[in-house]
Amino acid sequence: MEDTLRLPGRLPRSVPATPAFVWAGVFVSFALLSTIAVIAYRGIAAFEDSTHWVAHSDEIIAELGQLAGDDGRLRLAWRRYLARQSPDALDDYRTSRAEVQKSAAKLAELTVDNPDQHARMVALGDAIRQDLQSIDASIAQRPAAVSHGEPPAAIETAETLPTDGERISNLADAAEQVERGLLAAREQATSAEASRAKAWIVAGNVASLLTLAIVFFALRGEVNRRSRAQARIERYAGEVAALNAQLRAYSERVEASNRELESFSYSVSHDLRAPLRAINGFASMLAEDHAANLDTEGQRLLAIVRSSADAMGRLIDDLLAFSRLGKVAFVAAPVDMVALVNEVLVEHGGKHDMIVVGPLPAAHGDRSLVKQVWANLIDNAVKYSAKVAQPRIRIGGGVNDDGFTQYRIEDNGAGFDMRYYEKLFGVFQRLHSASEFPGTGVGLAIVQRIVARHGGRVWGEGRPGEGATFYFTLPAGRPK
Amino acid sequence: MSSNYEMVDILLAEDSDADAEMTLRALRKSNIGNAVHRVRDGQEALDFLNQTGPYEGCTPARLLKLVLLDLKMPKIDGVEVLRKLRATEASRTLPVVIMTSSNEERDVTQSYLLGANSYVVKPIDFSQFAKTVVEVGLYWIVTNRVPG
Repeated sequence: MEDTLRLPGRLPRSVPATPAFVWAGVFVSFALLSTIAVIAYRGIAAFEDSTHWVAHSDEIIAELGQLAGDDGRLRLAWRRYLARQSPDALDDYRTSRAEVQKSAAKLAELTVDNPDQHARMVALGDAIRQDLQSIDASIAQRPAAVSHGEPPAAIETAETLPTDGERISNLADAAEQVERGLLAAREQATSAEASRAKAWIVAGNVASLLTLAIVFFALRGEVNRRSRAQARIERYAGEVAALNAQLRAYSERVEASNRELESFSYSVSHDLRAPLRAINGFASMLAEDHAANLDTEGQRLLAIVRSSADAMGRLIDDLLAFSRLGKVAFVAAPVDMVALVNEVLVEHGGKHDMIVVGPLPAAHGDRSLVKQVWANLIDNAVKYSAKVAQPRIRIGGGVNDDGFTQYRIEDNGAGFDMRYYEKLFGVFQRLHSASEFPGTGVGLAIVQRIVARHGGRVWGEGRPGEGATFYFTLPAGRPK
Repeated sequence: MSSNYEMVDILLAEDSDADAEMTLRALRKSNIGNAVHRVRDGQEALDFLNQTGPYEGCTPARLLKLVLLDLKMPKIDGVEVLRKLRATEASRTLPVVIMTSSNEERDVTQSYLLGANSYVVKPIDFSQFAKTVVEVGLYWIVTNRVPG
């Protein structure tokens, strides 16, 4: 069965692409997480940097402590030397002297990045160098006692010396204070940076989690919506399947009834005609073989028997032709109407001088059915104008605005009374008696049925004794 | 009781007595068909052609020139008779004219597909009927030539 129902178009046949809010949520989360990553990276980098600076300050402070210690030892060794001129003390002094000089140089080097602190270190180094020059001079005045057990008299005390250890230690203390101040400021800055980074990380994560939660709930809603839609589709599919089953059952019933009708018309065609043929045949044989035994009245009665059988035969034929229209396969194609009408005229033979065929536009329809229409209409026109002195039949056509072509056949024959128009296209309905014009009254019914099957229209106009015009429309001949 | 059917030139297979009588009358009046043999159904037609059943032992119709075959008959219908005739070597080329009341397209098509030589719808009007029978008889008995 081809005629299956389909789902209405507005139903979602397939699940649409990822909704916009999912993209938006994913984008927001991604942006937040990226920002957090950058902030965290920068926080860690700043922390590393500040750790480096703290270590740097620690190193400077340690070096300052080292320098202060060495300076103290230097002065102690110097005093010991001044007291006894012992070579040991001189060695100690020289060792400490080298250390102090090394520390001073290192401190100057370590503070290159900080001009203020660097200046302090240079001043410290200058002070040390001045002290060391004085100390070295004082040592030079007192040569060391070599292998003499006698110690020289201690003449001068440290206080009288030009060198001043306190100045050095003050300078070193000041430099250390500054460095400690720097260290504290750096620690504070690091801590502030860390707090900011922490705040950003926490806030960003919270925002990201919120976004993901929103997306999750929205997605859950979407999933529910889609599963409901799916359920709806399945329900519709079920309904459609049920309807299709109904349709199939219905079409099977129709087919069965068509088959019945067909076998009915077959037996009508075969079985009803046989006895009619016998009635006609035996009446004819009676007339032929026993004419001598029949008077005029007898022969008249026999003639009625025969013509009645003939009439019934025609009725059966026409009725069958009419009923067959319903089941004839319908093959629509462009139809050359001029050729078709000429074909009909040729098949009807002769007397065509009185028939004038005008231009006829091509139609789109079933050729053999349309031919039947023309055959019936031309038959009628010829038949009903047969008793006129100069019969005239005109055939013409044109194209309407609505995509249909319109055809016309006009005769000057017996015409008809518009009062009985309703009967005109009925089956077995006639406006003239069979003795006036022979016929069964099926011709126009067949015309109407064929034209209606094409989606066209048929109508007529007539006046008694002045002729009739019949019109019909068909889809135009240009295929879509 | 074997009979001699050697001279039969037309076999009329027709179940309706009325149609058979009208056909025979038309043929007789036109002096066609010196020996027409009528059978009443498809089975009898096949028996006659094959010398079986009631026709066992009869002399076959060697001069048979035409079979007038009705379609709707008791026992075996015309279509089946035609099918069997065409399936038998001896009757493959035997001219068979379908004479029926049926004007159905499918009957016409089927008859031709099975090898009917002609298909004639019996007219209801007797004069036309007689004319048709005579035309068919004249053509197939007088005008037409068969193999052999």
